[in-house]
Amino acid sequence: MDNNQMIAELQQLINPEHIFIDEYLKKHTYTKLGGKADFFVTPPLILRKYKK
Amino acid sequence: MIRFANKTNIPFTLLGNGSNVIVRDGGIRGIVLSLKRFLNVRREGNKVIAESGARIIDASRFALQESLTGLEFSCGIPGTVGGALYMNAGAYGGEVKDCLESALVVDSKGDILRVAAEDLNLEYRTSNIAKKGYIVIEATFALQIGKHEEIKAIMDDLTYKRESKQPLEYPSCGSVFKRPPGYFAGKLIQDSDLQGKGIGGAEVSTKHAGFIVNKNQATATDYISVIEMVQKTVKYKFNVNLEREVRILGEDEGVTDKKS
Repeated sequence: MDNNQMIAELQQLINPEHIFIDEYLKKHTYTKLGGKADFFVTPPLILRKYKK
Repeated sequence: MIRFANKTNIPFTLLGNGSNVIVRDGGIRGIVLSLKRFLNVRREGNKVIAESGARIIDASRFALQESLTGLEFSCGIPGTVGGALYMNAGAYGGEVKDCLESALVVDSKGDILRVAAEDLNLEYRTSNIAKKGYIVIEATFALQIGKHEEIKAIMDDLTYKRESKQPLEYPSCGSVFKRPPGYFAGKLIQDSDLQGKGIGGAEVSTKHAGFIVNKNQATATDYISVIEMVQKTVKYKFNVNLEREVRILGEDEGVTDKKS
């Protein structure tokens, strides 16, 4: 699967506003360290029926 | 999302709020999932139910607001609720194990299930959450009704201790090492004359020896090199192995890009 396919499929699952491509992880760590994530996703929590 | 990653064989990494983790300079391939939108904290009876992306500090403050006692110890722990469960976070004599009733998790197949605290094998700075492949989405803490002013006094005291003893003025991942049996990691590092010693922009804090700080635009390689220097020196001087408390994720810079 190439990146474009991957993005298209991800966008089926998650609002595109919550998908970040080549996102620097130093923006998201307390040490302010870290290179890029290919796909950084921040979905909202939607709870459906779960098993006991 | 987990089912999608499993189906497509795309690497999948969970990142909490990045408080107890070091990401290498080459970054992380595949999908990195952040739960930073899972922020809700609510009360049901004497229980506080917190979503995994909420800060454990916020769960603690919410309990104070509701005059519920049991989460005071966590008022200075910088991580998320999910991260706190993952490593059975603790401070000043308390730990998650003391008040966690259950957790709502997603398993490695993508199914959601509720797991009782005793089934998470919560021990000193560890649990079986990673081993089981769980992602925590919500935690239920069983608390007791207390007096607001007493809870607040304890939390104020712990906050003062934290702010006066920890190098909060610099970026860091908090306490780097677990407490070795019979010792204190910070004392061993201090007695090894390592405070202020560094590599590149990272150094052992002069304020609290158990912390390594990003003092001047450090790279992850600098930071990890300081961790290794500390481990080697303490081993040489005291024959004690310091085990990391923080997770290291990702790959070094220059590793072949695996993106297709």
